[in-house]
Amino acid sequence: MEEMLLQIAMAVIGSLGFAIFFNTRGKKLALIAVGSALSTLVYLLVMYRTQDRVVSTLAGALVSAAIAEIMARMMKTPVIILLVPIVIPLVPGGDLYYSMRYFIMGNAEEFSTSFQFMLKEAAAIAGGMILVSFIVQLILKSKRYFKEIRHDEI
Amino acid sequence: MKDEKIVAGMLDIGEALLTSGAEVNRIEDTIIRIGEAYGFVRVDVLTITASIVLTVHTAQGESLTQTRRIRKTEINMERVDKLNALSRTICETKPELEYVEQHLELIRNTSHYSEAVMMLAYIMVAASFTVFFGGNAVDALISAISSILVRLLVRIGTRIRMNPIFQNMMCAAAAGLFVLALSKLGLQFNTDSIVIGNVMLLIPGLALTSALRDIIGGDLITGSLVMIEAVLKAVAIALGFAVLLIGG
Repeated sequence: MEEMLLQIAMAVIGSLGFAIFFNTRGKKLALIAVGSALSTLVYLLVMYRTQDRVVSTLAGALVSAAIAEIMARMMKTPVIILLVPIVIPLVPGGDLYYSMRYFIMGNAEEFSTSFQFMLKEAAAIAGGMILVSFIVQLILKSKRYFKEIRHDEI
Repeated sequence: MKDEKIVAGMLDIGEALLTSGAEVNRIEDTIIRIGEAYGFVRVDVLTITASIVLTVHTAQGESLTQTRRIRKTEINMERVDKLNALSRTICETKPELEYVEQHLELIRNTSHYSEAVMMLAYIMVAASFTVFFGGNAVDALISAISSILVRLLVRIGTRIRMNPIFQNMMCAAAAGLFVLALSKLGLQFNTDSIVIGNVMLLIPGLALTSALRDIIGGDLITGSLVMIEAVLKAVAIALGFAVLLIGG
């Protein structure tokens, strides 16, 4: 439990740091902190239940993207401003490093494991973002479509 | 003449968005909306990583084309946000050109965080991810010192306009050498966590995300080009840290 809180705190600090790199200011920083905390919480909970890094990353990415889309619409700000810092703690930096390490050590088996994990986690992040963005577009487009139908009837 | 100025103004906004790191989809959408707000009957715009081509058709049946080639990019999300707000205002109120020019100038001068704050952000990212990936307080401290080194190198690299891919490799190598030197001095620490904390500093997160969003949005050319650059940057990080791993 305590370890989980520490992990979440670290993820939030990391996300805020990244937001500062991109010159994000004001209220958006608070939203990013909240989003990052929630996304990391989901990641850790799923990790605890399944012990599967890829599934957990996918869950985290889905939550991150959903939060970013919702908050961006509320704040009338571009999604990407919130999305990138929120999703950063899920990035497989660890597996990138370990695959390099095992590659140089000539440990083919470990390299293959880490490298595959890195690719799968990257794909999970991408997949999560794509899915959420697809759903959002679907909602927006069908909204517009129904509005037009109603307009035509009148 | 007035139409020409409007087209130039539309490109100014597009250019400012592109240099600040917005997605292609947003840039094209913004330009089209503004064009329609100013009464052009047709707006054709194509944006590819570093160039914008814009043709508008006026109600009188004339057509106007202007292009821009963008060379410098400096990610600045505050600017993207303000440009977004400005384009909303333009579409709603169709203000005079002077108003747009004035506000655009203000937005261009949006200040970045001071160097001290940027340094702090580097320390925040490196130290927190070192702990996130299993490091302890000592590891976080070493990671923080190493991140200052990375920041200094990033500044030098940007000033001499070093190739960003090579710059990533250099920063990773420098951080790696720093950690290696400390371990040769006989200090005990968790090398892996420290290095991963510094890896996170260099990850091209924005490029990867915006490339992905461009591809989803159907802008395959820009999306793929940015994606290739981002992947190369990630590979460069790995190559840079190879110094540490070979030496250690």
